[in-house]
Amino acid sequence: MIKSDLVRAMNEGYAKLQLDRARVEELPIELEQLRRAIEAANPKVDFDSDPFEFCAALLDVAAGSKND
Amino acid sequence: MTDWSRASLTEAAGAIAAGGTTSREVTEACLDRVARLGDTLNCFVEVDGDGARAAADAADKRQRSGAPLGPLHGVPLAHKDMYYRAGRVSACGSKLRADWRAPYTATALDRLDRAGAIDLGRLVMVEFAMGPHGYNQNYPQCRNPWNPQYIPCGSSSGSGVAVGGRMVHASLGSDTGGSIRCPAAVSGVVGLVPTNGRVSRRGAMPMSHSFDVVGPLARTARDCARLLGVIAGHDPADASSLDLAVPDYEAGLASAAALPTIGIARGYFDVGVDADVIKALDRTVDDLRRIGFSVEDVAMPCDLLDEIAELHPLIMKAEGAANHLSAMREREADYTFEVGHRLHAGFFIPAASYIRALKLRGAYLRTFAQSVFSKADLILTPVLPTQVPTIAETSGRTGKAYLDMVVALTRNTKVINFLGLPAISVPCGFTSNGLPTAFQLFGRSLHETALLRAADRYQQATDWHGREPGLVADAAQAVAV
Repeated sequence: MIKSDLVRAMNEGYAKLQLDRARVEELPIELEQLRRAIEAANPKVDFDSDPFEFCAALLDVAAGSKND
Repeated sequence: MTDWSRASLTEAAGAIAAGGTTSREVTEACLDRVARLGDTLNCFVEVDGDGARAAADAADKRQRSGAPLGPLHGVPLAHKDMYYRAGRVSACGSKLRADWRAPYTATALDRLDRAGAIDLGRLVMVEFAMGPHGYNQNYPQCRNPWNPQYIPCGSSSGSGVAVGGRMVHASLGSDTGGSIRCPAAVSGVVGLVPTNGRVSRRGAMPMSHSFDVVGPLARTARDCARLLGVIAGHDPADASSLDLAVPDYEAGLASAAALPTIGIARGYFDVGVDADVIKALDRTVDDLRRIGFSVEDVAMPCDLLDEIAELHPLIMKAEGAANHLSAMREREADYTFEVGHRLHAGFFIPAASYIRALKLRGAYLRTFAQSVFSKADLILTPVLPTQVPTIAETSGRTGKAYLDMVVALTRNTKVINFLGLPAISVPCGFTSNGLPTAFQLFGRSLHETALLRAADRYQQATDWHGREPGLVADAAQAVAV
């Protein structure tokens, strides 16, 4: 669960944005939604897959190949 | 006397080439409409009347000389204010770039120039292309040409309004989650999203480089076919552009090959659809069958699409944050409240999460294609599941209410950007509030010809694309009087 303390710490260490207190309290809701999305998909990520494989997939799907 | 602003792009181009009219006459007709409607609809950031007239006169001189003419010779267009033109301001809807002059010209604009198009000016867009409703507090409210109380959708808001309002014959938009298809749908025009990589993104402001696609909004599928033929093709300056031959899309419209089969999306895309939109889609299916298409239900892989819908914002926000880090640190006060807020989340997404989401894209595309395109060549869905909302209904939302609105407007379009597939938005009727509604067709990657051919056949048999907003008809009446 993402909490406002984490957002505050990450902002101080990395992002360095001028976030007011209300926004720091609000952001965890949106971030939690995104975290859940990738957590749900994580088991499907193949160690050997490469993001650039997407281009090969586009060409295979275009050709209607058995691999698509 | 013909009002050439009301003709389609291909009709206007044909008449100019044949000497039936002049580029100057067509350009003046468009400028006249901009003068009549511009202050009501607020779709232009800048109108370059003098430049357009000079270019039109040069185009007419060339036509009279008998020199070869490009496929867009003398036709007035205008584009989303995020396409760079060397030495000219490209504000990207922002205060930050209000005076920023581009150091080079976008490849897509350069190709339109070479095809003979006239550039009428810069069109309003959502700030940095981040929002589906069409608001931008940096400018007067851009308004729907069918009813100024309703949203124009975005982020290519000015493009939809200018084409729907008959101020230009076509416009380049950009689409990261629906930003061509949604404005096209609510303005009653056609919007085409080519396959990811089909059109160079060089010189188009980046929003989310994995999803951004350059494409046209125009009045007919035939217009879009001509425009795609001009702008598509490999660009050595854009490493993501596909190095493949470009087919003759317009010739493909007349192909004698068997018509593509069409699947009605059952699941995911048909959730929460308004009754009037369902009626329009049902009528569309009847029309398509009458034309000769084979149309059958196709079950969507709903779990996969739900996952994709959740992963799309993760990638988009991470990439958007990467683009805006320096400016957000130094000048956040110069962002509108809404877009500044929309960018925040992207700064807190772990790199590993972002990259893992990208790693899934190829596999998910293959799974989706196997599941869907084994049953039909093209898939039919609504563009917007709902009726077009009013400005009052959608303005002033923040937090969860804002995110819910974004999700509602882009549910049916953003998943296609994740998959990188081509799609087209085609007007197919009106809902009870008097605003247009539209269907979306999507197909296999690089199968734009099939999409355009299906849309063109539909438009030959129906007249939704020929209907004009009351404001346009009123302005025409005023001229006649």
